[in-house]
Amino acid sequence: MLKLILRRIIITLPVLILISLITFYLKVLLTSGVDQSAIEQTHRPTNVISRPADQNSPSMPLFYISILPFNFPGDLHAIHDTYTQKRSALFLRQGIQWDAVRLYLQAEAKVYANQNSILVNAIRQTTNLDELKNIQSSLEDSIKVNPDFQDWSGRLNGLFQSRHIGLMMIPTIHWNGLQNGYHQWLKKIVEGDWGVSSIDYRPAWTKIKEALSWTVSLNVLALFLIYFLGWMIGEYLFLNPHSSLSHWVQHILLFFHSIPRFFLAMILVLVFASNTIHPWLHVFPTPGFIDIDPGAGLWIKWTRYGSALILPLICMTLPSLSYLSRLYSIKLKEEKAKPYAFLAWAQGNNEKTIVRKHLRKNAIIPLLTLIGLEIPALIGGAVVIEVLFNIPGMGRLMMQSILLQDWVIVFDILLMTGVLTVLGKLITDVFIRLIDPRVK
Amino acid sequence: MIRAIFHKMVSKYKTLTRLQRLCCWILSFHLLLAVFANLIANDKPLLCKCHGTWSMPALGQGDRLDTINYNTQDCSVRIMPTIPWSSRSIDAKSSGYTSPLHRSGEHIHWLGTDALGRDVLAGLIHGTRYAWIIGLMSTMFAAIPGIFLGMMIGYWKDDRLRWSWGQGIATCIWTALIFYELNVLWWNASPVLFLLIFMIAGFVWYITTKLIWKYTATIGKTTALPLDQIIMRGIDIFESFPKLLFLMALMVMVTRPSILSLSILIALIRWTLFTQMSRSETLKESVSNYVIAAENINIPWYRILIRHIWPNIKSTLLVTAIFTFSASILLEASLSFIGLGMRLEEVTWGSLMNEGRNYLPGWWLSLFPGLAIFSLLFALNWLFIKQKNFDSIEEKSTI
Repeated sequence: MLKLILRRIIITLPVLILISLITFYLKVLLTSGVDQSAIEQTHRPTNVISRPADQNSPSMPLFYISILPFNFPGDLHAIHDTYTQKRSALFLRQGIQWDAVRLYLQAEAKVYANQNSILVNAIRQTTNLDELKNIQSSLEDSIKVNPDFQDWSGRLNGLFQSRHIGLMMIPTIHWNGLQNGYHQWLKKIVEGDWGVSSIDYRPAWTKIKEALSWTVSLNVLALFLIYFLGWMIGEYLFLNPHSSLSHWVQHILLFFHSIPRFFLAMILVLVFASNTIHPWLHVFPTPGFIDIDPGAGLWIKWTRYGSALILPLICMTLPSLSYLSRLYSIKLKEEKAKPYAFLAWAQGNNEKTIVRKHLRKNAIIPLLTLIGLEIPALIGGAVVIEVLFNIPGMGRLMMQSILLQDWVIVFDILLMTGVLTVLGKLITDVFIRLIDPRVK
Repeated sequence: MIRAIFHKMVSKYKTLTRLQRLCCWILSFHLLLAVFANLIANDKPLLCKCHGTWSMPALGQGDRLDTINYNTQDCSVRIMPTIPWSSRSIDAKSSGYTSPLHRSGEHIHWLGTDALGRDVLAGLIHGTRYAWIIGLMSTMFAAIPGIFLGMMIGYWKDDRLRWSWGQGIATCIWTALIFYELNVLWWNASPVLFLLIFMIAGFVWYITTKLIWKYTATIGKTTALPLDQIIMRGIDIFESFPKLLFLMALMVMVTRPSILSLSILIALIRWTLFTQMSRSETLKESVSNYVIAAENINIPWYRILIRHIWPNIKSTLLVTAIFTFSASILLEASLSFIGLGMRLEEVTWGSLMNEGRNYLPGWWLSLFPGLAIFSLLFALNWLFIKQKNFDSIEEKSTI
């Protein structure tokens, strides 16, 4: 058993590393390529999410190794000025040698500091060599007079001379050591420093922990209800397959199964949590108006907001019941066809006893394996229901963080849900193995 | 041929139960609305005579810059669609959530309006079109790579693809190098030229890899490549992110959400199901006698996959595709419902319900789009999915 657990843990480790890599890659994708979006910012409709402002330049390489073209220097990231860094990268990508680029940018900076005209601004705005050539020809008069321009012109010619696209085809591998973005990011997270929310400057971990407690407690309760009711209904369906009640129950549950959850939730809110139909039907508090205090203790929360949590629980439970109860009754039927059930029947036991003593244990195992599949939903939360019912869980936190552009929280949540899901599946696997040693 | 298809459909229809027939009608009604949305709900006339010329603006004909208003003063003849509003047109006279059957001038808002005065029925009809396009496109984008990958790993399994260490290392390095060169060329070539280079590179990669494969076969020990294990662990990683949360995080990357980008992202979430299904089906088929016979007379593997295995697994994958279709419609609707879907000016079912969520007395904003989603998903479920594989676990993880 211990060996099995150890083996599972060893298999899980690379998965965890890959999850962190994916999250980090998404984070980098989001924080790079800011240039265009800054321009688009003004033309943007309100609900379109803008990318984060490029406040901190990437002063570290992204990963342990970087594969760069032959003409790239290994320490391009060490340039602290983001503008110069991006500009030199754009020159380097055209196959120009690093020395020429460096000298050119110095000359350009000198020109920019001393002279001020539209053409000088145009120089700063382009990295296209043809355009620079045009500017050079139109600046011919100043080049003759001004030593700064003369220098610049010479360096520009140097750019043309040192351009070898063929050299770029040779890749070089640079080892960056531990001072790289991924390592430092992961180190911080492992040490427990998850960053600070940019909205209210609270630690990200505190916010996520509060949201997680809501989501997990609500979902565990919903899962318990689903399994308990599914078990009861499934057994009833198995024992009375032809009664009119089981016929109706099956059809009603199937109807609820087909309804999208958010539509069901919306209807329940319209009927039972607002004055829209009739004030008498307004039994539960309206979702938008209860202000759930995330700081309070769990028991106080549950007692105070219990009435507000009934509708969400119904929405999370009802659609899943049909599947679970039918699966359970089918499994019971399968077990009943096996010889041991026949023997139990031959011994003179009645059907209820056979189910209770023999069939139930075997038929419930497939349902338990389903819990492992439910774990992503358990941690991610039924996002839509949380948003609609104003429950401060993970889904709602994620939605708010995206709308308010609080990227630290977004990627922390993504990483944490991924890692927790993997660990949860691990635990479920071991648990099922404990219950049923036949499972491979 | 059309007649034969028609006869086949009619005879199939006759075998259905009453509820299934109803589902057929619901589906075809949805499809009609999606196809002819512009002719049913549009703020431009179907046929008009403006300034002495006849035109059909609803079909996209004539004035594209919207300089003509198509009002009664300009047009001597004017035939409007049944619903004289498009999903985006704002009726200023009836803004601020007017309830159903509200009369505005000579026309009626049958299902009311939203805060800006946009007609809900028009939004619903155009939303049908969005839903179908997103559903079809994301299913396509998910199905093509998913089925390809699934059939490959189902056929090669863990032990059938054998390579020597030399072959493996050489191929990996060579592929990485080709990708590196493509990256360098991407910086310097124009998009059209790059597309050409990309195709040439694919061809070159294929031929050179074959050569490398041939000459490095004897280098190092020969081992089996556990392709199945590798891909399935990769899928596990994908599955470990909660679907909607992952989609929300991916949506952040898109600066301008459009139908295309949204359906690509949904496909990115949904392709794993295709891989799993086609893998298990191919695994089942690849041990059957006809495949073994085909292998023994030296039919190449790709021909076996296409000619022999594919016809036998496609009916199962069709069910998966229909499930993916309905699931991606649901995913898009949920995304719009929490306000992270397409742009604000686009009206979809989910965005209408989002407005209904923000203004609870406006029950018409959430009831009718919800009924539309429900009817479409119910019809699809009932016709195609319910009977065939009730036991599939995938069905459960809708959100």
